[in-house]
Amino acid sequence: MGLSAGGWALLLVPTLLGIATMLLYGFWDRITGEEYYVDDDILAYDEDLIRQQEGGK
Amino acid sequence: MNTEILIGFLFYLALLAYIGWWANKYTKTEDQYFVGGRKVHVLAATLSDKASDFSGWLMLGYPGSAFKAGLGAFWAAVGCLFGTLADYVLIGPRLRIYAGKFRAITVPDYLEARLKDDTKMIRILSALIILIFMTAYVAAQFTAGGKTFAEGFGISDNAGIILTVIILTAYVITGGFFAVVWTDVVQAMFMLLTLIIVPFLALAKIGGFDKATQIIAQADPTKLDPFGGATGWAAIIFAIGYASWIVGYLGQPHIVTRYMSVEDPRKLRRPGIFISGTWTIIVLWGAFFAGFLGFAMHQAGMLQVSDPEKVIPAMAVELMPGWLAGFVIAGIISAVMSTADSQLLVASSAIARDFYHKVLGKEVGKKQMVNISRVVVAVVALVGLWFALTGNKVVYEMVATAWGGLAVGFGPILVLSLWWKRVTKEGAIVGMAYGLVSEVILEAKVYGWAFNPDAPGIFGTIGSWFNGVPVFFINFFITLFIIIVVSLFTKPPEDVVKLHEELFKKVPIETGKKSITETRAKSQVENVADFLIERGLA
Repeated sequence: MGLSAGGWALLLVPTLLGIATMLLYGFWDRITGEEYYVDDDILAYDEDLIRQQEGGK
Repeated sequence: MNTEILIGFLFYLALLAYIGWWANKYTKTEDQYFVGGRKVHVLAATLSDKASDFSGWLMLGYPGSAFKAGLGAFWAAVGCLFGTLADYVLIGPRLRIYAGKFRAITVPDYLEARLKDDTKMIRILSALIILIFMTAYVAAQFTAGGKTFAEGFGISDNAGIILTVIILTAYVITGGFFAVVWTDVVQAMFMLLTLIIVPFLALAKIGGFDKATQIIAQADPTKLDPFGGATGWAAIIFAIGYASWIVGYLGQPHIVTRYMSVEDPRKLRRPGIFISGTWTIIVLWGAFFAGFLGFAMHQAGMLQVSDPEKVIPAMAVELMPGWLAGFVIAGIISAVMSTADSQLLVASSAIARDFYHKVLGKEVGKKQMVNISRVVVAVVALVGLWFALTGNKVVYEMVATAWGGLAVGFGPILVLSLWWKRVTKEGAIVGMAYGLVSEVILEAKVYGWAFNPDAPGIFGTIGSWFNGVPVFFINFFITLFIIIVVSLFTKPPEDVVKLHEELFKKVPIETGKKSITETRAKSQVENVADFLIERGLA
Protein backbone atom coordinates (compact mmCIF):
# COMPACT_ATOMS: atom_id res chain seq x y z
CA MET A 1 0.00 0.00 0.00
CA GLY A 2 2.63 2.56 1.07
CA LEU A 3 2.17 6.28 1.68
CA SER A 4 0.26 8.79 -0.44
CA ALA A 5 2.11 11.40 -2.53
CA GLY A 6 1.30 13.96 0.19
CA GLY A 7 2.76 11.63 2.80
CA TRP A 8 6.03 11.19 0.92
CA ALA A 9 6.14 14.95 0.31
CA LEU A 10 5.92 15.59 4.07
CA LEU A 11 8.81 13.22 4.69
CA LEU A 12 11.08 14.25 1.84
CA VAL A 13 10.52 17.94 1.00
CA PRO A 14 11.46 19.39 4.43
CA THR A 15 14.40 16.98 4.69
CA LEU A 16 15.76 18.05 1.30
CA LEU A 17 15.16 21.71 2.15
CA GLY A 18 17.05 21.16 5.40
CA ILE A 19 20.01 19.65 3.53
CA ALA A 20 19.94 22.58 1.06
CA THR A 21 19.95 25.05 3.99
CA MET A 22 22.91 23.24 5.53
CA LEU A 23 24.89 23.40 2.31
CA LEU A 24 24.00 27.02 1.59
CA TYR A 25 24.87 28.25 5.08
CA GLY A 26 27.88 25.94 5.40
CA PHE A 27 29.47 27.39 2.26
CA TRP A 28 28.08 30.92 2.51
CA ASP A 29 31.57 32.30 3.23
CA ARG A 30 32.91 30.66 0.07
CA ILE A 31 29.95 31.91 -1.96
CA THR A 32 30.34 35.52 -0.81
CA GLY A 33 34.13 35.43 -0.23
CA GLU A 34 33.62 37.02 3.19
CA GLU A 35 33.54 35.79 6.77
CA TYR A 36 33.16 37.28 10.25
CA TYR A 37 36.28 39.01 11.52
CA VAL A 38 37.68 36.93 14.37
CA ASP A 39 40.75 38.18 16.25
CA ASP A 40 43.07 36.76 18.89
CA ASP A 41 41.07 38.48 21.59
CA ILE A 42 38.07 36.32 20.79
CA LEU A 43 39.96 33.09 20.16
CA ALA A 44 42.48 33.35 23.00
CA TYR A 45 39.86 34.13 25.61
CA ASP A 46 40.39 30.99 27.61
CA GLU A 47 44.15 31.33 27.97
CA ASP A 48 43.63 34.83 29.38
CA LEU A 49 41.06 33.63 31.85
CA ILE A 50 43.13 30.70 33.04
CA ARG A 51 46.13 32.99 33.56
CA GLN A 52 43.98 35.33 35.65
CA GLN A 53 42.65 32.44 37.70
CA GLU A 54 46.06 31.04 38.35
CA GLY A 55 47.31 34.41 39.51
CA GLY A 56 49.14 35.35 36.31
CA LYS A 57 52.14 33.65 34.87
CA MET B 1 14.48 -9.13 35.51
CA ASN B 2 16.32 -10.12 32.33
CA THR B 3 19.99 -10.76 33.26
CA GLU B 4 21.31 -10.23 29.73
CA ILE B 5 19.67 -6.78 29.50
CA LEU B 6 21.17 -5.93 32.87
CA ILE B 7 24.67 -7.00 31.80
CA GLY B 8 24.50 -4.93 28.56
CA PHE B 9 23.30 -1.94 30.50
CA LEU B 10 25.88 -2.28 33.29
CA PHE B 11 28.70 -2.50 30.77
CA TYR B 12 27.59 0.83 29.31
CA LEU B 13 27.21 2.37 32.75
CA ALA B 14 30.73 1.30 33.66
CA LEU B 15 32.03 3.03 30.52
CA LEU B 16 30.31 6.29 31.48
CA ALA B 17 31.46 6.05 35.09
CA TYR B 18 35.01 5.61 33.88
CA ILE B 19 34.81 8.70 31.63
CA GLY B 20 33.31 10.73 34.47
CA TRP B 21 35.97 9.57 36.93
CA TRP B 22 38.80 10.26 34.52
CA ALA B 23 37.42 13.69 33.58
CA ASN B 24 37.12 14.58 37.25
CA LYS B 25 40.92 14.66 37.43
CA TYR B 26 40.89 17.24 34.64
CA THR B 27 38.12 19.46 36.05
CA LYS B 28 40.01 21.79 38.30
CA THR B 29 38.71 25.27 37.59
CA GLU B 30 35.35 26.98 37.31
CA ASP B 31 35.60 27.65 33.57
CA GLN B 32 36.61 24.05 32.93
CA TYR B 33 33.64 22.92 35.01
CA PHE B 34 31.17 25.09 33.10
CA VAL B 35 32.52 25.52 29.55
CA GLY B 36 35.39 23.06 29.38
CA GLY B 37 38.01 25.82 29.20
CA ARG B 38 36.45 27.09 25.92
CA LYS B 39 38.68 24.84 23.84
CA VAL B 40 36.11 22.20 23.03
CA HIS B 41 36.71 20.68 19.61
CA VAL B 42 33.95 21.50 17.13
CA LEU B 43 33.07 17.81 16.65
CA ALA B 44 32.61 17.35 20.40
CA ALA B 45 30.78 20.67 20.78
CA THR B 46 28.29 19.97 17.97
CA LEU B 47 27.58 16.36 18.93
CA SER B 48 27.32 17.44 22.54
CA ASP B 49 24.95 20.20 21.48
CA LYS B 50 22.65 17.67 19.84
CA ALA B 51 22.96 15.10 22.61
CA SER B 52 22.00 17.84 25.08
CA ASP B 53 19.13 18.94 22.88
CA PHE B 54 17.59 15.57 22.07
CA SER B 55 16.62 14.02 25.30
CA GLY B 56 14.17 11.51 26.65
CA TRP B 57 11.79 13.41 24.36
CA LEU B 58 13.53 11.92 21.31
CA MET B 59 13.63 8.36 22.62
CA LEU B 60 10.28 8.26 24.43
CA GLY B 61 8.13 11.37 23.98
CA TYR B 62 8.44 11.72 20.21
CA PRO B 63 8.11 8.02 19.28
CA GLY B 64 5.09 7.97 21.61
CA SER B 65 3.63 10.90 19.68
CA ALA B 66 4.25 9.15 16.33
CA PHE B 67 2.65 6.01 17.80
CA LYS B 68 -0.48 7.98 18.74
CA ALA B 69 -0.76 10.49 15.84
CA GLY B 70 0.88 8.65 12.94
CA LEU B 71 2.37 10.48 9.96
CA GLY B 72 1.21 13.95 11.08
CA ALA B 73 3.67 13.77 14.00
CA PHE B 74 6.47 14.15 11.44
CA TRP B 75 5.74 17.89 11.54
CA ALA B 76 7.52 17.88 14.92
CA ALA B 77 10.62 16.50 13.20
CA VAL B 78 10.34 19.31 10.64
CA GLY B 79 10.25 21.87 13.47
CA CYS B 80 13.21 20.28 15.25
CA LEU B 81 15.34 20.09 12.09
CA PHE B 82 14.78 23.72 11.15
CA GLY B 83 15.14 24.77 14.80
CA THR B 84 18.56 23.11 14.86
CA LEU B 85 19.57 24.87 11.65
CA ALA B 86 18.20 28.20 12.91
CA ASP B 87 20.42 27.87 15.98
CA TYR B 88 23.49 27.68 13.74
CA VAL B 89 22.38 30.44 11.38
CA LEU B 90 21.02 32.91 13.94
CA ILE B 91 22.71 32.13 17.27
CA GLY B 92 25.89 30.04 17.23
CA PRO B 93 28.70 32.04 15.55
CA ARG B 94 27.57 35.48 16.75
CA LEU B 95 27.07 34.26 20.32
CA ARG B 96 30.55 32.68 20.34
CA ILE B 97 32.09 35.92 19.05
CA TYR B 98 30.36 38.01 21.70
CA ALA B 99 31.15 35.43 24.40
CA GLY B 100 34.83 35.60 23.54
CA LYS B 101 34.81 39.40 23.50
CA PHE B 102 33.02 39.72 26.84
CA ARG B 103 34.71 36.76 28.56
CA ALA B 104 31.19 35.39 29.05
CA ILE B 105 30.83 31.87 30.46
CA THR B 106 27.04 31.66 30.76
CA VAL B 107 24.05 33.09 28.83
CA PRO B 108 23.27 35.60 31.64
CA ASP B 109 26.96 36.68 31.53
CA TYR B 110 26.55 37.44 27.85
CA LEU B 111 23.20 39.24 28.15
CA GLU B 112 24.39 41.42 31.01
CA ALA B 113 27.56 42.45 29.18
CA ARG B 114 25.89 42.91 25.77
CA LEU B 115 23.10 45.11 27.14
CA LYS B 116 25.34 46.84 29.68
CA ASP B 117 22.96 46.09 32.51
CA ASP B 118 24.27 47.45 35.79
CA THR B 119 21.00 46.83 37.64
CA LYS B 120 21.61 43.04 37.85
CA MET B 121 17.96 42.59 36.82
CA ILE B 122 18.81 40.56 33.71
CA ARG B 123 20.94 38.23 35.80
CA ILE B 124 18.21 37.81 38.41
CA LEU B 125 15.50 37.21 35.78
CA SER B 126 17.76 34.76 33.94
CA ALA B 127 18.47 32.84 37.14
CA LEU B 128 14.74 32.61 37.90
CA ILE B 129 13.81 31.48 34.36
CA ILE B 130 16.57 28.87 34.36
CA LEU B 131 15.83 27.63 37.85
CA ILE B 132 12.07 27.22 37.34
CA PHE B 133 11.99 25.78 33.84
CA MET B 134 15.23 23.84 33.95
CA THR B 135 14.06 22.06 37.08
CA ALA B 136 10.83 21.16 35.24
CA TYR B 137 12.91 20.00 32.27
CA VAL B 138 15.14 17.86 34.46
CA ALA B 139 11.98 16.32 35.98
CA ALA B 140 10.87 15.32 32.44
CA GLN B 141 14.22 13.58 31.91
CA PHE B 142 13.91 11.74 35.21
CA THR B 143 10.46 10.57 34.14
CA ALA B 144 11.81 9.37 30.79
CA GLY B 145 14.62 7.50 32.55
CA GLY B 146 12.17 5.99 34.99
CA LYS B 147 9.88 4.73 32.22
CA THR B 148 12.81 3.19 30.37
CA PHE B 149 14.07 1.33 33.43
CA ALA B 150 10.50 0.22 34.14
CA GLU B 151 10.08 -1.29 30.67
CA GLY B 152 13.57 -2.80 30.52
CA PHE B 153 13.84 -4.26 33.99
CA GLY B 154 10.23 -4.78 35.03
CA ILE B 155 10.31 -2.35 37.95
CA SER B 156 7.82 0.43 38.74
CA ASP B 157 8.05 3.86 37.05
CA ASN B 158 8.80 5.52 40.39
CA ALA B 159 11.60 3.07 41.24
CA GLY B 160 13.05 3.74 37.77
CA ILE B 161 12.89 7.49 38.35
CA ILE B 162 14.80 7.20 41.63
CA LEU B 163 17.43 4.99 39.95
CA THR B 164 17.84 7.58 37.15
CA VAL B 165 18.32 10.40 39.66
CA ILE B 166 20.99 8.52 41.61
CA ILE B 167 23.05 7.58 38.52
CA LEU B 168 22.78 10.97 36.86
CA THR B 169 23.45 13.22 39.84
CA ALA B 170 26.48 11.17 40.84
CA TYR B 171 28.22 11.63 37.55
CA VAL B 172 27.38 15.31 37.04
CA ILE B 173 28.65 16.12 40.51
CA THR B 174 31.91 14.32 39.87
CA GLY B 175 32.65 15.55 36.36
CA GLY B 176 31.15 18.94 35.44
CA PHE B 177 31.09 20.21 31.87
CA PHE B 178 34.24 18.53 30.71
CA ALA B 179 32.92 15.12 31.65
CA VAL B 180 29.52 16.09 30.25
CA VAL B 181 30.89 17.08 26.84
CA TRP B 182 32.82 13.87 26.35
CA THR B 183 30.18 11.55 27.75
CA ASP B 184 27.72 13.42 25.49
CA VAL B 185 29.76 12.39 22.45
CA VAL B 186 29.64 8.73 23.49
CA GLN B 187 25.92 9.10 24.24
CA ALA B 188 25.22 10.78 20.88
CA MET B 189 26.70 7.76 19.12
CA PHE B 190 24.60 5.35 21.24
CA MET B 191 21.44 7.30 20.39
CA LEU B 192 22.29 7.28 16.70
CA LEU B 193 22.86 3.52 16.60
CA THR B 194 19.69 2.80 18.57
CA LEU B 195 17.53 4.88 16.26
CA ILE B 196 19.00 3.30 13.14
CA ILE B 197 18.75 -0.31 14.36
CA VAL B 198 15.27 -0.32 15.93
CA PRO B 199 13.20 0.83 12.87
CA PHE B 200 15.00 -1.61 10.56
CA LEU B 201 14.37 -4.53 12.92
CA ALA B 202 10.72 -3.46 13.14
CA LEU B 203 10.43 -3.38 9.35
CA ALA B 204 11.89 -6.87 9.10
CA LYS B 205 9.52 -8.19 11.76
CA ILE B 206 6.42 -6.66 10.14
CA GLY B 207 7.38 -7.79 6.64
CA GLY B 208 8.07 -4.51 4.85
CA PHE B 209 6.84 -0.93 4.70
CA ASP B 210 3.82 -1.67 2.49
CA LYS B 211 2.58 -4.24 4.99
CA ALA B 212 3.08 -1.77 7.85
CA THR B 213 1.06 1.00 6.16
CA GLN B 214 -1.64 -1.53 5.28
CA ILE B 215 -1.99 -2.53 8.94
CA ILE B 216 -2.06 1.14 10.02
CA ALA B 217 -4.67 2.04 7.38
CA GLN B 218 -6.92 -0.77 8.61
CA ALA B 219 -6.61 0.46 12.20
CA ASP B 220 -6.97 4.21 11.55
CA PRO B 221 -6.58 5.77 8.06
CA THR B 222 -6.07 9.29 9.51
CA LYS B 223 -2.70 8.08 10.83
CA LEU B 224 -1.48 8.03 7.22
CA ASP B 225 -2.69 11.56 6.49
CA PRO B 226 -0.03 14.34 6.70
CA PHE B 227 -2.50 16.52 8.63
CA GLY B 228 -4.10 13.81 10.78
CA GLY B 229 -7.28 14.00 8.71
CA ALA B 230 -7.76 17.75 9.33
CA THR B 231 -8.50 20.16 6.49
CA GLY B 232 -8.37 23.93 5.91
CA TRP B 233 -7.50 26.10 8.94
CA ALA B 234 -7.51 23.03 11.21
CA ALA B 235 -4.82 21.43 9.03
CA ILE B 236 -2.61 24.53 9.33
CA ILE B 237 -3.07 24.62 13.11
CA PHE B 238 -2.31 20.87 13.22
CA ALA B 239 1.01 21.36 11.40
CA ILE B 240 1.97 24.45 13.45
CA GLY B 241 1.10 22.63 16.65
CA TYR B 242 3.74 19.98 15.94
CA ALA B 243 6.31 22.15 14.12
CA SER B 244 6.25 24.87 16.79
CA TRP B 245 9.33 23.37 18.46
CA ILE B 246 11.34 25.44 15.97
CA VAL B 247 11.21 28.74 17.90
CA GLY B 248 12.17 27.06 21.14
CA TYR B 249 15.63 26.24 19.84
CA LEU B 250 16.62 29.89 19.95
CA GLY B 251 16.33 30.13 23.73
CA GLN B 252 17.60 26.91 25.30
CA PRO B 253 20.54 27.80 27.57
CA HIS B 254 21.78 24.19 27.78
CA ILE B 255 22.03 24.12 23.98
CA VAL B 256 23.40 27.59 23.18
CA THR B 257 26.03 27.30 25.95
CA ARG B 258 27.61 24.68 23.70
CA TYR B 259 28.24 27.31 21.02
CA MET B 260 29.96 29.51 23.60
CA SER B 261 32.40 26.71 24.34
CA VAL B 262 33.50 25.96 20.77
CA GLU B 263 37.13 26.67 19.88
CA ASP B 264 36.47 28.89 16.83
CA PRO B 265 33.14 30.52 15.86
CA ARG B 266 33.82 30.00 12.16
CA LYS B 267 33.87 26.24 12.64
CA LEU B 268 30.21 26.35 13.61
CA ARG B 269 29.52 27.22 9.98
CA ARG B 270 31.68 24.44 8.63
CA PRO B 271 31.82 21.62 9.76
CA GLY B 272 29.49 22.46 12.70
CA ILE B 273 26.19 22.73 10.87
CA PHE B 274 26.94 19.65 8.74
CA ILE B 275 27.67 17.40 11.73
CA SER B 276 24.71 18.68 13.69
CA GLY B 277 22.24 18.78 10.78
CA THR B 278 23.09 15.30 9.50
CA TRP B 279 22.89 13.75 12.97
CA THR B 280 19.56 15.49 13.55
CA ILE B 281 18.01 14.25 10.30
CA ILE B 282 19.01 10.64 11.01
CA VAL B 283 17.78 10.52 14.61
CA LEU B 284 14.50 12.31 13.85
CA TRP B 285 13.70 9.90 11.02
CA GLY B 286 14.68 6.98 13.29
CA ALA B 287 12.58 8.16 16.23
CA PHE B 288 9.58 8.88 14.03
CA PHE B 289 9.66 5.51 12.28
CA ALA B 290 10.23 3.67 15.56
CA GLY B 291 6.92 5.05 16.86
CA PHE B 292 5.12 4.77 13.50
CA LEU B 293 6.17 1.16 12.91
CA GLY B 294 5.74 0.35 16.60
CA PHE B 295 2.04 1.14 16.17
CA ALA B 296 1.84 -1.26 13.22
CA MET B 297 3.53 -4.00 15.29
CA HIS B 298 1.14 -3.31 18.14
CA GLN B 299 -1.89 -3.56 15.83
CA ALA B 300 -0.59 -6.79 14.30
CA GLY B 301 -0.28 -8.31 17.78
CA MET B 302 3.52 -8.50 17.58
CA LEU B 303 4.18 -6.06 20.42
CA GLN B 304 2.63 -5.35 23.80
CA VAL B 305 2.82 -1.63 24.66
CA SER B 306 1.46 -0.49 28.02
CA ASP B 307 2.28 3.18 27.35
CA PRO B 308 2.92 4.63 23.83
CA GLU B 309 5.99 6.48 25.19
CA LYS B 310 7.54 3.11 26.10
CA VAL B 311 7.39 1.87 22.50
CA ILE B 312 11.18 1.91 21.83
CA PRO B 313 12.23 0.03 24.97
CA ALA B 314 9.36 -2.40 24.37
CA MET B 315 10.55 -2.96 20.77
CA ALA B 316 14.12 -3.49 21.97
CA VAL B 317 13.09 -6.12 24.47
CA GLU B 318 10.83 -7.80 21.87
CA LEU B 319 13.10 -7.67 18.81
CA MET B 320 16.64 -8.00 20.10
CA PRO B 321 18.81 -10.46 22.01
CA GLY B 322 18.93 -9.55 25.70
CA TRP B 323 22.43 -8.07 25.76
CA LEU B 324 21.67 -5.87 22.72
CA ALA B 325 18.39 -4.74 24.28
CA GLY B 326 20.51 -3.78 27.29
CA PHE B 327 22.54 -1.53 25.01
CA VAL B 328 19.36 0.03 23.58
CA ILE B 329 18.06 0.66 27.08
CA ALA B 330 21.46 2.21 27.72
CA GLY B 331 21.04 4.32 24.55
CA ILE B 332 17.77 5.70 25.86
CA ILE B 333 19.22 6.36 29.28
CA SER B 334 22.05 8.09 27.36
CA ALA B 335 19.60 10.49 25.79
CA VAL B 336 18.10 11.21 29.17
CA MET B 337 21.42 11.64 30.90
CA SER B 338 23.07 13.70 28.19
CA THR B 339 20.29 16.28 28.41
CA ALA B 340 19.67 16.23 32.13
CA ASP B 341 23.37 16.54 32.94
CA SER B 342 23.66 19.71 30.84
CA GLN B 343 20.49 21.08 32.37
CA LEU B 344 21.66 20.39 35.90
CA LEU B 345 24.91 22.13 35.07
CA VAL B 346 23.19 25.20 33.60
CA ALA B 347 20.88 25.38 36.62
CA SER B 348 23.84 25.11 38.97
CA SER B 349 25.72 27.86 37.11
CA ALA B 350 22.63 30.11 37.31
CA ILE B 351 22.62 29.89 41.08
CA ALA B 352 26.25 29.39 42.03
CA ARG B 353 27.86 31.70 39.51
CA ASP B 354 25.21 34.12 38.25
CA PHE B 355 23.37 34.67 41.52
CA TYR B 356 25.68 33.85 44.44
CA HIS B 357 28.89 35.10 42.87
CA LYS B 358 27.74 37.89 40.51
CA VAL B 359 24.52 39.26 42.03
CA LEU B 360 25.30 38.86 45.72
CA GLY B 361 28.96 39.64 45.07
CA LYS B 362 30.27 36.78 47.22
CA GLU B 363 33.95 36.21 46.54
CA VAL B 364 34.85 32.57 46.80
CA GLY B 365 37.74 30.49 45.53
CA LYS B 366 37.41 28.55 42.30
CA LYS B 367 37.48 25.24 44.09
CA GLN B 368 34.78 26.45 46.46
CA MET B 369 32.67 27.63 43.51
CA VAL B 370 32.81 24.19 41.97
CA ASN B 371 31.78 22.66 45.31
CA ILE B 372 28.86 25.11 45.68
CA SER B 373 27.77 24.20 42.15
CA ARG B 374 27.81 20.55 43.09
CA VAL B 375 25.54 21.22 46.08
CA VAL B 376 23.15 23.16 43.78
CA VAL B 377 23.09 20.22 41.34
CA ALA B 378 22.05 17.93 44.19
CA VAL B 379 19.28 20.31 45.35
CA VAL B 380 17.89 20.87 41.82
CA ALA B 381 17.95 17.11 41.27
CA LEU B 382 15.94 16.55 44.46
CA VAL B 383 13.28 19.12 43.44
CA GLY B 384 13.20 17.59 39.93
CA LEU B 385 12.73 14.17 41.53
CA TRP B 386 9.71 15.45 43.44
CA PHE B 387 8.14 16.85 40.23
CA ALA B 388 8.85 13.60 38.38
CA LEU B 389 7.27 11.44 41.07
CA THR B 390 4.16 13.62 41.45
CA GLY B 391 3.67 14.84 37.81
CA ASN B 392 1.50 13.39 35.02
CA LYS B 393 4.48 11.37 33.68
CA VAL B 394 3.82 12.30 30.00
CA VAL B 395 7.31 13.15 28.74
CA TYR B 396 6.16 14.98 25.56
CA GLU B 397 4.02 17.41 27.57
CA MET B 398 6.51 17.86 30.41
CA VAL B 399 9.26 18.74 27.92
CA ALA B 400 6.96 21.11 25.98
CA THR B 401 6.16 22.98 29.20
CA ALA B 402 9.78 23.47 30.23
CA TRP B 403 10.97 24.06 26.65
CA GLY B 404 8.35 26.77 26.30
CA GLY B 405 9.42 28.69 29.40
CA LEU B 406 13.04 28.77 28.29
CA ALA B 407 12.06 29.58 24.69
CA VAL B 408 10.00 32.61 25.67
CA GLY B 409 12.36 33.75 28.43
CA PHE B 410 15.58 33.68 26.40
CA GLY B 411 14.77 33.16 22.69
CA PRO B 412 13.51 36.63 21.70
CA ILE B 413 16.21 38.55 23.60
CA LEU B 414 19.01 36.28 22.36
CA VAL B 415 18.00 36.71 18.71
CA LEU B 416 17.46 40.46 18.99
CA SER B 417 20.66 41.09 20.96
CA LEU B 418 22.70 39.23 18.34
CA TRP B 419 21.09 40.80 15.28
CA TRP B 420 19.73 44.21 16.29
CA LYS B 421 22.07 46.91 17.56
CA ARG B 422 19.14 49.00 18.89
CA VAL B 423 17.93 46.53 21.51
CA THR B 424 18.14 47.97 25.04
CA LYS B 425 18.44 46.59 28.55
CA GLU B 426 15.01 48.05 29.37
CA GLY B 427 13.51 46.10 26.46
CA ALA B 428 15.27 42.96 27.67
CA ILE B 429 14.16 43.36 31.29
CA VAL B 430 10.50 44.03 30.41
CA GLY B 431 10.44 41.25 27.79
CA MET B 432 12.10 38.64 29.99
CA ALA B 433 9.90 39.54 32.97
CA TYR B 434 6.81 39.26 30.76
CA GLY B 435 8.06 35.93 29.37
CA LEU B 436 8.67 34.49 32.82
CA VAL B 437 5.40 35.61 34.40
CA SER B 438 3.16 34.87 31.40
CA GLU B 439 4.60 31.40 30.82
CA VAL B 440 4.19 30.45 34.48
CA ILE B 441 0.59 31.73 34.59
CA LEU B 442 -0.52 30.44 31.16
CA GLU B 443 1.09 27.03 31.54
CA ALA B 444 0.44 26.43 35.24
CA LYS B 445 -2.97 28.06 35.65
CA VAL B 446 -4.76 28.70 32.32
CA TYR B 447 -3.96 26.23 29.55
CA GLY B 448 -1.29 23.72 30.45
CA TRP B 449 1.34 23.19 27.75
CA ALA B 450 -0.97 23.83 24.73
CA PHE B 451 -3.94 26.05 23.88
CA ASN B 452 -7.31 24.39 24.39
CA PRO B 453 -10.94 25.54 24.55
CA ASP B 454 -11.40 24.37 28.15
CA ALA B 455 -9.80 27.51 29.67
CA PRO B 456 -12.16 30.03 31.32
CA GLY B 457 -13.68 33.11 29.59
CA ILE B 458 -11.77 34.83 26.79
CA PHE B 459 -8.90 32.38 27.25
CA GLY B 460 -11.24 29.59 26.20
CA THR B 461 -12.16 31.47 23.01
CA ILE B 462 -8.50 32.05 22.18
CA GLY B 463 -7.83 28.43 23.06
CA SER B 464 -10.41 27.28 20.52
CA TRP B 465 -8.69 29.27 17.75
CA PHE B 466 -5.27 27.71 18.44
CA ASN B 467 -6.37 24.36 19.83
CA GLY B 468 -3.31 22.12 20.19
CA VAL B 469 -0.69 24.80 19.47
CA PRO B 470 1.84 25.04 22.33
CA VAL B 471 1.43 28.19 24.43
CA PHE B 472 5.08 29.14 23.95
CA PHE B 473 4.78 29.44 20.16
CA ILE B 474 2.38 32.41 20.30
CA ASN B 475 3.98 33.83 23.45
CA PHE B 476 7.41 33.84 21.80
CA PHE B 477 6.24 36.37 19.19
CA ILE B 478 4.40 38.48 21.79
CA THR B 479 7.63 38.71 23.84
CA LEU B 480 9.61 39.56 20.71
CA PHE B 481 7.16 42.36 19.96
CA ILE B 482 7.33 43.71 23.54
CA ILE B 483 11.14 43.86 23.49
CA ILE B 484 11.12 45.68 20.13
CA VAL B 485 8.55 48.25 21.28
CA VAL B 486 10.27 48.98 24.63
CA SER B 487 13.66 49.19 22.90
CA LEU B 488 12.31 51.71 20.39
CA PHE B 489 11.13 53.90 23.26
CA THR B 490 14.51 53.74 25.03
CA LYS B 491 18.07 54.34 23.86
CA PRO B 492 21.06 51.96 23.95
CA PRO B 493 24.49 53.33 25.01
CA GLU B 494 26.51 54.54 22.00
CA ASP B 495 29.54 52.35 22.74
CA VAL B 496 27.33 49.25 22.79
CA VAL B 497 25.91 50.09 19.36
CA LYS B 498 29.40 50.84 18.01
CA LEU B 499 30.83 47.55 19.32
CA HIS B 500 27.95 45.62 17.73
CA GLU B 501 28.61 47.26 14.36
CA GLU B 502 32.37 46.63 14.53
CA LEU B 503 32.14 43.08 15.81
CA PHE B 504 30.10 41.68 12.95
CA LYS B 505 31.78 43.33 10.03
CA LYS B 506 32.64 40.82 7.33
CA VAL B 507 36.20 40.53 5.99
CA PRO B 508 37.59 38.74 2.92
CA ILE B 509 38.53 35.12 3.64
CA GLU B 510 42.26 34.70 4.37
CA THR B 511 44.09 32.64 1.78
CA GLY B 512 47.63 31.31 1.60
CA LYS B 513 48.99 32.22 5.01
CA LYS B 514 48.32 30.41 8.28
CA SER B 515 45.09 31.45 9.95
CA ILE B 516 44.87 32.56 13.57
CA THR B 517 43.19 29.26 14.37
CA GLU B 518 46.13 27.29 13.07
CA THR B 519 48.67 29.27 15.06
CA ARG B 520 46.68 29.57 18.27
CA ALA B 521 46.94 27.46 21.43
CA LYS B 522 46.06 23.79 21.47
CA SER B 523 42.47 22.66 21.19
CA GLN B 524 40.60 20.65 23.82
CA VAL B 525 41.29 17.43 21.94
CA GLU B 526 45.02 18.17 21.88
CA ASN B 527 44.98 19.05 25.57
CA VAL B 528 43.15 15.83 26.37
CA ALA B 529 45.65 13.86 24.31
CA ASP B 530 48.55 15.50 26.18
CA PHE B 531 46.86 14.81 29.50
CA LEU B 532 46.26 11.22 28.43
CA ILE B 533 49.91 10.70 27.50
CA GLU B 534 51.13 12.32 30.69
CA ARG B 535 48.74 10.72 33.19
CA GLY B 536 47.55 7.58 31.40
CA LEU B 537 44.09 6.04 31.51
CA ALA B 538 44.21 4.94 35.11
